[in-house]
Amino acid sequence: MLDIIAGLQQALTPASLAACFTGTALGIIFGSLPGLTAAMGVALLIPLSFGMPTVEAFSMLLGMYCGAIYGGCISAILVGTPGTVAAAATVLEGPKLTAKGQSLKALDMATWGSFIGGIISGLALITCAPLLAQAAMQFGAAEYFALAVFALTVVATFSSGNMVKGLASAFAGLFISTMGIDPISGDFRNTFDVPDLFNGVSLVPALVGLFAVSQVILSLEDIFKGQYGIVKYGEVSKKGISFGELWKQKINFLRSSFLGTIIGIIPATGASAACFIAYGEAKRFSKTPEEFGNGTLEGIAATESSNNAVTGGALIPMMVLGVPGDVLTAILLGALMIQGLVPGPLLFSEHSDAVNAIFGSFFVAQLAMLTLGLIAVRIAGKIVNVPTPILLPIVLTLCAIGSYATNNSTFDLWLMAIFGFVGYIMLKGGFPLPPMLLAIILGPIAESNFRRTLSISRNDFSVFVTSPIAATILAISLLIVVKVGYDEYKKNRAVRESHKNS
Amino acid sequence: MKFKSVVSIMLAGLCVLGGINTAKAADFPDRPITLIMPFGAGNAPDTAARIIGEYFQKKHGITLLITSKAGGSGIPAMLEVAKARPDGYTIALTSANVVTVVPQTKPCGFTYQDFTPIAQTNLFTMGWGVLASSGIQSVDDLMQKAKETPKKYSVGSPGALTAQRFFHAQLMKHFPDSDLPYVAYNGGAELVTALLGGHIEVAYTPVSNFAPHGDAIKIIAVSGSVRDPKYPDVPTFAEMYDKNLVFDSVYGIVGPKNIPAERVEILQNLFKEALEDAEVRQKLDNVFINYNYLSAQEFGEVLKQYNDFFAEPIKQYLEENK
Repeated sequence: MLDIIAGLQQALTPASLAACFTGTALGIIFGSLPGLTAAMGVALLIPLSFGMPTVEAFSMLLGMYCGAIYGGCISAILVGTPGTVAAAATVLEGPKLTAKGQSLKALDMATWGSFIGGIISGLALITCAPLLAQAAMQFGAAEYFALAVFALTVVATFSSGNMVKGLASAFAGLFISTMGIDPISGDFRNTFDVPDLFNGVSLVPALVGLFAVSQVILSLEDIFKGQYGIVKYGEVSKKGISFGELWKQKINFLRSSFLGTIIGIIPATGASAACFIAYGEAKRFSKTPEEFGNGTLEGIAATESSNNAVTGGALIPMMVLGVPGDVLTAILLGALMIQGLVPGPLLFSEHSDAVNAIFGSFFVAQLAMLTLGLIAVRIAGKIVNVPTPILLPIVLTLCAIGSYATNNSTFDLWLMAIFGFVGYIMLKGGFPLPPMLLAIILGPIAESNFRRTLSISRNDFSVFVTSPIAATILAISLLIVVKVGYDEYKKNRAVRESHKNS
Repeated sequence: MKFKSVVSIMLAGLCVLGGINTAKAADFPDRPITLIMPFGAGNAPDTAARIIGEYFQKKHGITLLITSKAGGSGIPAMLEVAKARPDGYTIALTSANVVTVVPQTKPCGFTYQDFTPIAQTNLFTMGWGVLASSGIQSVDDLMQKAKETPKKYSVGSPGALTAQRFFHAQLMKHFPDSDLPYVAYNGGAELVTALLGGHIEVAYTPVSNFAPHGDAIKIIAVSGSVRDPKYPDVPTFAEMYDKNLVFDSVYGIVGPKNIPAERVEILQNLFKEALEDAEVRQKLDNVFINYNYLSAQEFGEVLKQYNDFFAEPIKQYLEENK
């Protein structure tokens, strides 16, 4: 405990604080602009960090990391365009709240949720990192597959009342995720000999296309019909969130942060999966599940606390085992090693000063995120004053920059446009969009780990049952599917009965 | 005729203007150089590029725009380089695998001859690592165990259709009775995690990936032509089984075909200088990245060697898997 306080002291020196606030501010900007990803931001700061002392370097980098994951919610809530993939689930509630004139409440909820998620994952980081990291090692290919299947059951949550359309959307997404190189044999699949598709469909153009460009097209349609966009940009909301409203979400915060931390610890799953799972669980446990999808603060609390809890969780295997869970932690791992700190069990015993300073700077970064976030949302909130016809081209430009910047590929601009139209048609036809995105994100994880499991087991399927972790997760997934199916059946029967009786 | 001459005068004029850029090699480079990488940010080559980029900026004021274009076996990134203007302002940091093995396994619009070699920068010794706790002593021991208990042992390596896979196929010809299939992983980090978690028994990846884990991982063989100086006790496959069983992971700088020779030389010398700098070396050492500079001409020979070595195994593989 004393060590942590010593670490905090190091992280609170003027130089570290300055580095941390600069990193966080940049992070929030990077996060809120669609397509400028957290990974890009951190990668850009890496050369700067070479010459800095460890504490300052990590104050800046962790500030950037947390700030960027958080910042994604600002554009998600205000203009319906997720700034980062991690905020994809926030789009399901944010714009609806903005339309209700509650944008500031939503943003405050997101900011506090992010803060709480970060702090809880930070506590996990300082208290039981080595233990948790060892537990995460139990995840092999079979377990990853089971986890991806579990995450896919969230599709059911998004499709309740419209199961067939939801499943159609998910299966289309799964098909899209098969494009590119076969992860096991190395052959090309469904690439139509287009070199740009050799790498499959990139996530960012799919995301901004489906969720942002489709909205822009919808708004355009409304403008041509003489109405303003579907997101009615009312007055700037001045009413922030009250303590009571935050307190009501305490269980939700805890559950979502816990889920986010766990998913963060398991390498190679990531913030986007975490926020969808937390959203699904929040809806499952909610007293008012019917409000999900129509603008509920509960949903925002779940997605934002979970995606920021991933940050602390992801640092655990990175620092304890030297195993990066995603691109971001891989870059941070490089930064750590350039500082002469080799991650692994020895790091904690040989460089405990540096480790504690990094832990300290992680907490300071959360504070910086909270302070800067609460200021930023009050400034950014004015965006709703901008008339829709002016806002649309700006949103579209940001989408295009983001889609291009991820892979520096003009092809991705076409992809964005195609997904935009597909999203528009799907919205018109009543097909939910999240299942498709979820399938595009999870398809590759599920498929490659499924086939990897089978190549290790020589095509013996029993491994999915004999691994206790995989078997448990798959059983839970099966229960969810059965329950959802039964609920749907009951609902349909009730509808039929009422038709008969009338 | 008249039109033609007007055009040619204009062209000549353009050449003179353009000559400001092309003829005076001394001015090269006078604007940022784009360095495209067929690897994701955070990978070893990305870190190396950033360290070198920082040196260029500090020492010469040359900006290196590091552009990561991961995935697709590196094809999209290398196609972009192959199609770029050969003026030395677009180059790539790539692996020999991407430019020689990949084009032979699938049609991708380029071969290694579509690139101008500029310099070799790194050479990673590839090795087979096992968990020290597994009790596997050597490759012979492993092969014996894999023969006695089939369906238990697997070799994991990053990438589906890479040089490692063909190397593995060639090696297994020496052990027809051992059950030790190849399992593709997405990247080195993921693979080492699987090894440490006991989900896979052998990992085939640069030995630098094993280094951070100390004694937990035992390296049973390396696939270099000679032993790695850092692991003098670890034998090579070549000395044990067949002198042709050699594969190092080689990285270097290439550009599009037909970059003017004097620019190639300038670039080559820049990278040479950076890799000789003590501070750069220190940073690379910290991240376990080996530096191994070779000149443009030597790197070209390495690429050719690579290409020819894998031609036969790849042909065999493609025929067997038709």
